[in-house]
Parts: sequence; structure tokens; C-alpha cells
Amino acid sequence: MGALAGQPNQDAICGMRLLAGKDDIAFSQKIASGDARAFEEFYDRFATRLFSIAFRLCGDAGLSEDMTQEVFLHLLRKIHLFNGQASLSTWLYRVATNFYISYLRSYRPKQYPHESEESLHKHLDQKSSQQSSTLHHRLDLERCLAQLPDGYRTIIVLHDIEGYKHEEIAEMLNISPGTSKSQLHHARMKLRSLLQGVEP
Amino acid sequence: MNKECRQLEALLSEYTDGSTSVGEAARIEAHLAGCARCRETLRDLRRLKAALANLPPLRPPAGLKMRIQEQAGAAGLITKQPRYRLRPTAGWVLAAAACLLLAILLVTGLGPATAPLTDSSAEMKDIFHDLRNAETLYLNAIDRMDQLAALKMNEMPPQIRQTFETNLALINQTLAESRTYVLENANNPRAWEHLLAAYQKKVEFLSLIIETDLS
Ligand SMILES: [Zn+2]
Repeated sequence: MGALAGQPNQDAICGMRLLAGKDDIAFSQKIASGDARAFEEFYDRFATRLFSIAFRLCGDAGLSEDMTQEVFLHLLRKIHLFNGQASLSTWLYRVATNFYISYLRSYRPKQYPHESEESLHKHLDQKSSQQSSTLHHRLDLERCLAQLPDGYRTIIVLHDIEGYKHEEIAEMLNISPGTSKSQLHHARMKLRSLLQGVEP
Repeated sequence: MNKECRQLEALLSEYTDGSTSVGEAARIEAHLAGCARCRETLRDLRRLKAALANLPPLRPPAGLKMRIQEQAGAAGLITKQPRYRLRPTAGWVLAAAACLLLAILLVTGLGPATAPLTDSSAEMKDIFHDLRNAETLYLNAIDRMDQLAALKMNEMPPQIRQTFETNLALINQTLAESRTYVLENANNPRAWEHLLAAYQKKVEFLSLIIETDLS
């Protein structure tokens, strides 16, 4: 159908992640030169994932629009630094994620919740195991994700959705890999309890 | 929950990720064999991890690209301005949504005299925030319906398909214009009503396509 003609080819995008080739470098140089059509292609390829990361990091549609807008301006200013050591998409998502993290940090003070294990267990002990079957309805998951405390949500998004390793997350958030691991566990348990609807 | 559960549960996330040591894994497995509660936690953690990894991407709102192009153009980051600009025709949108709107107004009790709200109302800010979040999720649900409808239309005889496509194009146009209207009047409840009415119309129409009996 005609309406699909402008859509980026998904296979082409996936393939591109593997190649940090000359195409990536040529494309990045074209964008850096200010070429309007290269920008359109750039937007069409990357906006969905960049918006998704923003939305899930902040849990707020309006704010994630602002973040996506700002990140594109940031990427346009930084893209000349791309040197082809990783694929363009890997590089972009990493730069963008770092940008989002510092954006949110200045937007509101970081709050790493320090909920004790005991209080998490207290929530879990109240639940009935029968409720688990409805656990992973996608919209429930999105809603509960948005309800997580900021620090927990960040760890879940980076590790479980975006697939970063604890070492990478530690570097991005300026914490130790051990902290990243234990925060991830608490975050998942909290998300599980939110999905089970036992939160006050 | 006993002490061993408490100690081992802290490792269940890492076990889910396959990153525990051989010794830890053996200890966890021995415990799991006799503890239904920890088995259930592990099962939930595995499901949760899979569900998170499979969350589909969310489509950015229409109009964002144009705003970025304008900003980037103003900042001298791209040389040429975008080629076209969507013209909102709010009057036409108002007319198109009038019937549905009337029903909504009756239900919500919002009279036509209600003035657009200012930013100062914290409660309303909160409501608009919820509306925008809802819209993002709604849009993605519609995306999936769109795909189902496209598959269905592929199976239709050309003439019927043509009719559906023409109507769908009209609905999409209304939707795009309502969206632009909201972008320019984000704190006006009326603008949101138009938009939600347009979404509703699209959902109804897509349902009609998907449920059409072709036999
Ligand atoms: Zn146990």
C-alpha cells in the first residue's frame, strides 16, 4: 500500500546494527552536513525507538516528546563524533540514553528508593498466587512500569528492555555493577508486586 | 518465609539472567526443589523478563518530526526547511466530530461555554498528563488494529477494499487534523474531546473491517 512507502525497512535496520560499515559513516557525515533529506531518513529510522526509550524512562508522554525533541538536537550536534567503532545505531542509542539520564537528573532530583527487602516481602506475602495468570498483559506492564520509582524504572529499562549489561549501566549511572545488580532485583520484585496489584 | 528463602531470593534475579556462579546455582536448585514459593517467584521473574524484552516500540506522536525539523532549522543544524506543513482546519474537524461530541458533552456535563483552562490548575495538569499517556498507549493499540485490518483488506475483492480504503483515508485525515488541533490547543478539553472522538471512530471502523465476514 502507498501509505507504507515511506516506512523504513525493518530488515534493513536490523542488518545495520551488525555493520559498522562505510554506509554508517557516510550517512552520519551526510546528517552532520545538515542535509535535510538525510535528517528525514535519520528521523524515520530512529525516532520510534528513541521515543520509546524516553517514554519508558520517564513514564510521561508529554515529557518524552520534549526529551525526544531535545535528543535529536543533541544528536545532530554530536554526530560528527561518530567514528564507526560501533554501529551507528548502537552509538546513537548509547549517546541518547546518556543524554536522557542526565536530562531526567536535572529535570528532577534522582531518587533511588531504598526499600528494605522486608517491606518488599511484606507486599508479596499478601498476594494470592492465582492472580499471576494475568501478570503480563502488556498495557498493565506499561502502566506499572510508569508507576515504578524513577531509579527502579531506569534500571529495568536499561537492563531488561534496552539490553545493557550491568557494567554499562554502572558507567551510565555512575554506580557500581553490584549496585546495579541488586537494584535490578529490587526493581523486578517491585514491578512484580505492582502487577499483582498489591500496592497500597 | 524462612531465612534460606530470604537469602536465596536475592539471587533469583541473577539466576534468571544465568549469571550466578555454579555453586550458587546448585544451592538455588536444591532449594527450589523443596520450595514452591521460590519456584513461583522464579517463574514470575522469568515471565516478567520475557515480557519486558518483548515490549513493542511506541510510535512517537504525529507532528513531532515537523517540530524537530523546525527547531533544528532554526538552530542551523539542518539547511533546508521541511517540504510541507500540515494545515489544521479546526472548523472542519469541529463539524466532523459534532455528533459524537454532543454525546460526550451530555455525558460529561461540559457545556460549550466552558473556557479553555490555564496552566495554573494543578488538577487539570494532572488530567492532561493522563490524557497524553493514554493517547500514546491508545495509538499503539490502534497501530496493531491497523495491521490486522490491512491483512483483512488484502483478502477482500478490489471494489469492497477500495471503499474501505477510501473511508479509512478520510478517518485518518480527520485524525491527523484533530491531532494538530490538540498540539496547538493542548490545554483545551474541547480539543481533546475531538481527538478522542476521532480515535473512537477509527477503532469502530477498524473493528468493522476486522470483523467483516468474507465467506
Ligand atoms: Zn524458598
